[in-house]
Amino acid sequence: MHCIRLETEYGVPTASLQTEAFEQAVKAVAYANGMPRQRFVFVPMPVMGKSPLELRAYIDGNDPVTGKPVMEEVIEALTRPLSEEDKKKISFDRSTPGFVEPDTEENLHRLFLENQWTDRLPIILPTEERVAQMLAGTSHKPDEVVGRMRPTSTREAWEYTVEKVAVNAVMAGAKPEYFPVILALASTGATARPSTTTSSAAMVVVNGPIRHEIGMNWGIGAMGPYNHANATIGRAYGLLSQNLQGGSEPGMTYLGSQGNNYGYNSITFAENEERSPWEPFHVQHGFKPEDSVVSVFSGCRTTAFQLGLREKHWREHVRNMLRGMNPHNSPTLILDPITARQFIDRGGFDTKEKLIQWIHDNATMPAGVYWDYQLIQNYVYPRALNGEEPYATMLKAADDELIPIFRLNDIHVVVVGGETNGYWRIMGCGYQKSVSIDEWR
Amino acid sequence: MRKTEMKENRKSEKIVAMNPMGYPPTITQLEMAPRLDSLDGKTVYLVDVRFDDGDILLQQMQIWFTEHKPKVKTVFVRKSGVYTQDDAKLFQEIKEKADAVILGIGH
Repeated sequence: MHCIRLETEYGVPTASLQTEAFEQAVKAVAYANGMPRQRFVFVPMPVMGKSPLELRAYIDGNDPVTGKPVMEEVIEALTRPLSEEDKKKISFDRSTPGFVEPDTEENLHRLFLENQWTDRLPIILPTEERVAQMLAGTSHKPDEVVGRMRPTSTREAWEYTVEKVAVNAVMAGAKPEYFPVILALASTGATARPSTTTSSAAMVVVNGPIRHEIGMNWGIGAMGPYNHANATIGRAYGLLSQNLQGGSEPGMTYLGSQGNNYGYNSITFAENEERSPWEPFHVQHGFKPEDSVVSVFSGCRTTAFQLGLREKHWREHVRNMLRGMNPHNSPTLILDPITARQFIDRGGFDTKEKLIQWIHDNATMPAGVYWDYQLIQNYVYPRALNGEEPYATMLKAADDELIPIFRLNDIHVVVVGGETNGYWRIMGCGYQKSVSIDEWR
Repeated sequence: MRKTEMKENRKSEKIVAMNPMGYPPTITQLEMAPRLDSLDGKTVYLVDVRFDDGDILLQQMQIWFTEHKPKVKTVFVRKSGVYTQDDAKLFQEIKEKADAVILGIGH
């Protein structure tokens, strides 16, 4: 994207240097952003962790995509005159038909699979009749635009309507009464299928009366495959994300190196408001207790897990868990009600805010260790250099000085579980937003 | 009708299904910048976007230019902000001082 800006807005010719693993992805981004003939040069993967000598070999070697010498390609990218094809200024619409060609059930299932419209598990075929039934779950018109979504900030955002969301909700096996929750999720514009190489997944927390109305689970097994609403709402969020944003195709619009099993249903559950000793999550974020609200988290991939809080060393145990997290993803404590009450008994945290403050103050590490993490180098260090607080101040700390790993406002607490034991976990994830479900009824 | 016949009929029955994809924006092709006749005597900025160890790779490329294309003036710079963020100040400097840009790694 930087090269496209430099070419078009600043009039400077560019050669975009990429690793071979990104060939399809960067060409697709260039195409969608209006520069299909952008000039790329590829080097082998990985660059990270290689010595200067090893990287010099990349420079002296061949482009693994074209087989030509890398530096010959670099020079050619900057000096080869633009052809008539390069200079063309064309504009065209890309349309999405409302229907696929009529076919047998077996063939349609194959088509949906081949087109990468599914999560590779069997789906419910979205017939017109089934989609109409889903649409009955909301008062909103089928052609109303719900939002826009993209797999990453460098991709173009695609638009979608209530009907398009309904198609994906049917495919996931959701019931019409779940549809307002699914529409609310779609309205966030936050994708559950980001293209990031980090393999991150989303997490969804539902609060308010709708939990009872549609029979969601916040008790035993709430975060697992034991409830139809939890399972299919989460699956619908994943399917609508990949299809409404324009795909989640490995190598093209999905680059998660290892992938992430959380992606199957985006860790969708309801908060156990009834057994929580604290304010519900949605009330913490400005809603009334009687509002039905869905909250979206992103970047889920790191989990720390523990049983209860021991009287003597609970502080050290929690600090150890926090230091084991990826420092770029802030912690959301997912507490069984038993552990929530234990945090009150052990630490006197009679509000979530007091617990969050303690977590912030105790999640520390030496500055030198913190700044050396690759993810911190990639995503936080440049912001510190730009003077962004609190990072700029943290950057001034001596290498052995303890600094907070996470920002206070990025730490959250949610209560869920059936009190079969005091197990709890910390999910490394970023809170995105909370939106009203009632507005989508 | 026999059970097997009914089964076969169901199998061959054509169904109408709806397309699950969203609506993409229109694409308008953008014009690329004019290319240089040669890099000799020109200033080429090597821009590190701060992704992984791209800075080391570009510094090695700078050494290559010194060894093989001494008439090309190269300037190594690191873009400010995380790799996806624009750096308007640097881009303006490039417009004023650079003839071409090699940007890496990625993005």
